[in-house]
This record gives sequence, C-alpha cells and structure tokens, in this order.
Amino acid sequence: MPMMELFDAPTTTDSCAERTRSVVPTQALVLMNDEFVEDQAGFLAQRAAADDGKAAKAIARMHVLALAREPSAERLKQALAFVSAREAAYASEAGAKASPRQRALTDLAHVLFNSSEFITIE
Amino acid sequence: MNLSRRQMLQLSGGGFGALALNSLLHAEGALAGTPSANPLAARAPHFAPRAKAVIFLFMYGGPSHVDLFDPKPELEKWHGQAIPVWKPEDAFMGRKTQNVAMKSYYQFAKHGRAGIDIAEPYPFLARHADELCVIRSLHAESNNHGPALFQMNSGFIQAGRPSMGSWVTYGLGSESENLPAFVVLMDHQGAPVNGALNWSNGFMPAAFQGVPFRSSGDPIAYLTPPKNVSASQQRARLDLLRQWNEEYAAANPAESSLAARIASYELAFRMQVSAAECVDVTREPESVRKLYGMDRPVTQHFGRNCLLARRLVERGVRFVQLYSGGNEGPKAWDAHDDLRKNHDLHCAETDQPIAALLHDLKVTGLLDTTLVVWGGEFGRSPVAENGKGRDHHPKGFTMWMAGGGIKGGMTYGATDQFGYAAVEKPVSVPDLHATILHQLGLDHERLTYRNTGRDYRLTDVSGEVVRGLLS
Repeated sequence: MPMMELFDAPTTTDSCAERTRSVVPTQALVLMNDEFVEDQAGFLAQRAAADDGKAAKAIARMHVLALAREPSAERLKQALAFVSAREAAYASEAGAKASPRQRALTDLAHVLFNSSEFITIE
Repeated sequence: MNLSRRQMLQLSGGGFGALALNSLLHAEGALAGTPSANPLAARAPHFAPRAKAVIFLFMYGGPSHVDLFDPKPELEKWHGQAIPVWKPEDAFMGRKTQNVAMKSYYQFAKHGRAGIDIAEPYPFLARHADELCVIRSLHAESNNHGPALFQMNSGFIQAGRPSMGSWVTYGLGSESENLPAFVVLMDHQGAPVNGALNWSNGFMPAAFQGVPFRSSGDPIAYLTPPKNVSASQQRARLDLLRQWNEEYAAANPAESSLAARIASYELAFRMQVSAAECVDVTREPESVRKLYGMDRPVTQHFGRNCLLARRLVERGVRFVQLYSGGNEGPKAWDAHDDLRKNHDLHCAETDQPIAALLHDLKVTGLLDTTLVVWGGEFGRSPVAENGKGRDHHPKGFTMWMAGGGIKGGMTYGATDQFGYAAVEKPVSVPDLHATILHQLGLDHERLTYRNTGRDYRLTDVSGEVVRGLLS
C-alpha cells in the first residue's frame, strides 16, 4: 500500500521498537491526489449532508465526524464562505452527476482530511 | 526593503509556520548563513565549496574490500589456515565463524594511469579508475547492520541523530525551489534495516529529513490529481488548507512538524509540475538510457536510480542517497553464505550504472561540483564463513570517492597484510563525514545544532578533514 508506506509503515521483516514519524512532501501528494481520499471525501460529504439543506449543519457534522469537535464560530464562517464560493463555481458547470452543494461539501471534506489537525495525534 | 526575486519567493513560499521555525533556529544562532523565513532557503556555506551536491552510492550489507579494491596476496598463502590477527569476538553475534583464512575468488588488475587495483566483477567501473580516490583504511564501530548504518548515516551507532543529508540541508538549505533537498532512492528489493531512520532528521526540524522516492514504477506516486478534480478546484482547496494549517501551527508552536507539514504541501503543489518532469527518465535519449543499462534486466533498477540521481543533481538537489541492496541477507551485499554468488550479482547490478553516472557527470561538467561516494556500512572478514562466505567486518574496509574536489587516481591508507585492520592512515567515519562537509564548504566543528542543552555535530567530538584526499 503506497499510502501506508509513505506514512512510515514499518517493514514486516524486522521487529519495530519505535515507529518513525516523518513529514515529507510525498505524503502531501498522496493525500492531495489519491482517488481513495477523493472517494472518502465524497462519502463524508454525503453522510453529513443535512436533510433541511442547511450548509452550516453539514459543516458542523463534518467537523464532529472528522475532528471530534464542533467548529468554532470563526471556522464555521470560513467554511461557509468556502462552500458557497465553490457552489457558485459549480452552478455554472453542466453535466456533473453530483449537485453543486454536494461537490462543494466534498471539497471541504477533502480539506479536512488533509488538515494537520486530522493528520496529527495530539 | 529591497528583495531579490529569489528572496521574495522564499519569503512567500515559507509562510507563517516557517517564520516560527526560523526564529527558533536563529534563537540558537545555529544556522551558517543569512536568516530567511523558509527553512529550506539556500544559505551561504562557511567557506568556498568545491562541491554543490553529494551522490552517496550506499552498498548496503557490506561489500567485501578484500574481494573488490584491496587485494591481499597473503590470504592466498594463508588460505585454509588460521591468521594470527583474527579474534573469536570478531564473529557477528556468536556465529560459528572459524579462524580460517579465505583467499579472494576474484582476479585483480591495475587500472588507469595510477594503476588502481580493481577486481574483475567491476569491469565498467575500472575504466574510470583515474577518477577514483580509493580509501582502503576506513574503520567503523559496529559489526551489526543496524548500528553500522546509523553510524555511516548519522555519525552515531544509536538511532535518533540527524543523518548526513539532514545536516547538509540544515547547513546549506535547498538550491531547488521545486524539489526536495535530500532525496533517497531505495533498491528494488526494499528498504535497508532501520528503514526511514536512515534518512531521519533526528532532533532537527522535520523539514530536513530525506524524501524517499519509489524504487519501481513511477518514482513519485500521485503527482497528478484525479481526473475529475480541476486545477482551480485543487488550488481553492489548498488555499483554505493552508489557512487552517497555519492557524493550527500557530496554536501549537512547539511542534516543528506542523511547519514542515505546511511547507510540504507548498512543495508538493510545485512538485506536481517540476518533479514530474525531473523523474521522467523517458525524456532522456535512448542512447543515454542504454548507457545506464536500463535496457537490461540486471542493471535496469540501479541504472534508473543512477540516471535519476544525475537529473536530480542537475536540478539543484543537494544530497542524493542511492541504496544498492535492500531488505536483508542475499538481497543486500551481505555475503555470509556464498560471497561469489552475492558479489557477482550486486556488482553486475551496479557496475555499468555507476560507470555511466561517472561518465555522464564528467561530460556534463557536473563531476567537478558533485561528490560521488561509494561504500557500505562496513567491509567483510578475511576469514571464511560457512565455507564460501564472509562475515561482517568493521575494523578495516574500503570506500571510494570521485569528483567534487577530490583527487582522482589514487589510493589512500592501507589495511594490514590480511585486510583485517586499518593500519596506515586510518580514516574513521567522523573523518569521512568531516571531509564530505568540507567539500561542501561546511566546517564540521562550526556546523552545530543545539539539542537537550548541548551543541551537537555530525562528527560529535572527533573527525578531521582528510587533507590528503583533496585536489
């Protein structure tokens, strides 16, 4: 598994007293560009989508699911601005299977999966 | 404020997190050159360098000096008999190695104007004898792969210290804005023991660690986004990501890995274009790929990595480490059971590619400023193991260097008549490290990093530049 390898999976031939923890740009590449991450971002966006269509509710739920915390007021504001800007960009495009809202939330889920807060154990 | 274009890019590329990192580093007064916001920004050396880059050809497992570069006629006379210098504790971890001298399987011949001794499994390399500075008097501290790899890479036999590539990156920064400064190319058989600890940043900031490329297939995975993700969409995601990561790093200032994470995303974004071009060896003419042996199964892997190393150095990468041999045992140069079978294979895998690299660096003029280093973590014992093999042996072994202000066509130092111990002009691992840093314009005594209350050096408390090797 290239992703495991890039994130310091130990070799299976030797005992491993301590796992190494590296930070290298090839890790950023796999999280940015792997289809797997893209698919998972789509699933998170679907799962979090609110029945009443409120973006703020979906954003809050995505934060709880990915980071185990509610977004701060400031964070919510940033995320809402991002989602509505992405939604507006997709609204002018024809032919996509997913709705502009769904695509915008997928973008946000992708940002969450790439964030230091998601990757790092506190 | 007057800024050059390069400074402007470095300042804007480094970001907020890097500023915090930089202030941490400069609070210690540790960096050699001018302050900058980007941890990977190019920094001035201590004095005029002879080399800009290092290509370290790491023959993992321990190649046999007495079978490749250090002929010992005495071993023929003593073949099958006990030699007076060998001690039972020289055997690795209580192996059943007996004191029975073993002559070399190979014939040696003198090559080049200087008549450098090179054994028959290295015919291509032998044509470059006049470029080689063969050091026959290396000695190291451990006869176990793990600690010996740590020592050759970081100066210490324990884990946890920064590797040489990290020290070089810390001292000089990166020449390339679009590629990592320190790249590791592994053997197709896998990683050496210790894995990523061999190119670790140790106690230094994470931005200085080596970046491993993949050993087969595409050297770097995931250089392009999925088909349904547009460039503008990716940029929008990364802009928000950067903002959030900077906020998170500011809230956790003690974690240097967070600044490195931010820098890694910026570098990754640029690598999508520049690295894709760099690692695409199919852009090289067929004649060049053939020169490196990419058309033959036995040489294609190491040949690809040697060609990649040239392309990386050409584009400003500072330190490239190539491993020959991976995993362990016969997949590495670890010839316990059958030396001839082992070294026939690993010499065949590396001979033509290394010769091609030297040739290519020479015709492109890069050899003048590129220091090529060849060697393993130790040598092999002059006595037999399992009848046909040789055990680990750190008390005397051979490495060679070429280019980068090193005198070609010479041998330096000597082992005793059995090839057992370095006796003439011995060169320790810290001596080797001091010499490599010196060629890069770095004084190993001044290149320090403060950790747990004291200044650390790659060479710790010893190491002398081996002046006799310098041209």
